[in-house]
Amino acid sequence: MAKLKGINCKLYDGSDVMPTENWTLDEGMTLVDTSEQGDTGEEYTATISNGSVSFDGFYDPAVASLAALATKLRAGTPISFTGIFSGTKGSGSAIGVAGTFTLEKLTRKTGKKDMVTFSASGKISGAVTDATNL
Amino acid sequence: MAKLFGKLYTTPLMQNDSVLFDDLHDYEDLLDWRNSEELPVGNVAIERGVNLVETTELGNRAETYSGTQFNGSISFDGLWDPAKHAHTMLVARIRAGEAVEVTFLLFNPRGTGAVMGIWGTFTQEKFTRKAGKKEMLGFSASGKFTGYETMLVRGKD
Repeated sequence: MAKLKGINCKLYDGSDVMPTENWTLDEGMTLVDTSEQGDTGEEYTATISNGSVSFDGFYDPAVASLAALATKLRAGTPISFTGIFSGTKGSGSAIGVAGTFTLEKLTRKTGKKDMVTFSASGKISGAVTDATNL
Repeated sequence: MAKLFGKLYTTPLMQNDSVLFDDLHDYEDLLDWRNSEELPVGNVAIERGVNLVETTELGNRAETYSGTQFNGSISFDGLWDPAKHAHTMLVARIRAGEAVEVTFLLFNPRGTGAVMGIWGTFTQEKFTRKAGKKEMLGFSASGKFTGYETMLVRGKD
């Protein structure tokens, strides 16, 4: 394995690929300052994890996975996502990450000199898993 | 002192494999390198601070401050490689809320003079992977130090 090119990375909603230009997966951990009187330095304890997914691209209403974004946002339907870093999803040897997020924002933008584009972001519910057998 | 270049390591190793750094054999007294693993990164920033409380009183003509607790944070980024153990363990550690021990070493590129190291323990607060069509797959991470990170300075024998 070597360093990976972003052009080969893909984002899936279930088994449907979502055509994107960029996608970002954020994972976070809530830290609480648990230092006490007498401690010379701050001390942190991890409590609960959090995460988000954001992605953008060219909007095409004929692509089912893109058209479904608005429907799922309005209904609050969770999206089971898979982000592929390397390989082909379904091959059993693809490397990537999987989880579930709920859309929080979907933007579609038109400009007279631009293509119609979209951007979306959501918050992860539950665990995110890295795998090498997707 | 000459200009320095830096490398970031996680210590101790998070699994039972080991890495030998030939270029570090002269510094074995600094840390136990048999238990070290290089963390490939593009940029590293370590911030150290102290919480200041304003203690100015009526009648003072200028603000006065007293330091209370030290604090520190670390952030780094690079190109994500799922085959790099040090990279994948970052993901496992943020999900588990486990602390990471790091040593950030600054070397003299000419191989002479002092080597400086900052050692500490931090807990990750954020870990991001980003895929862009015209970019390499990248990652960035940041966290807060627990306790007071220690600066080590050693001269080469």
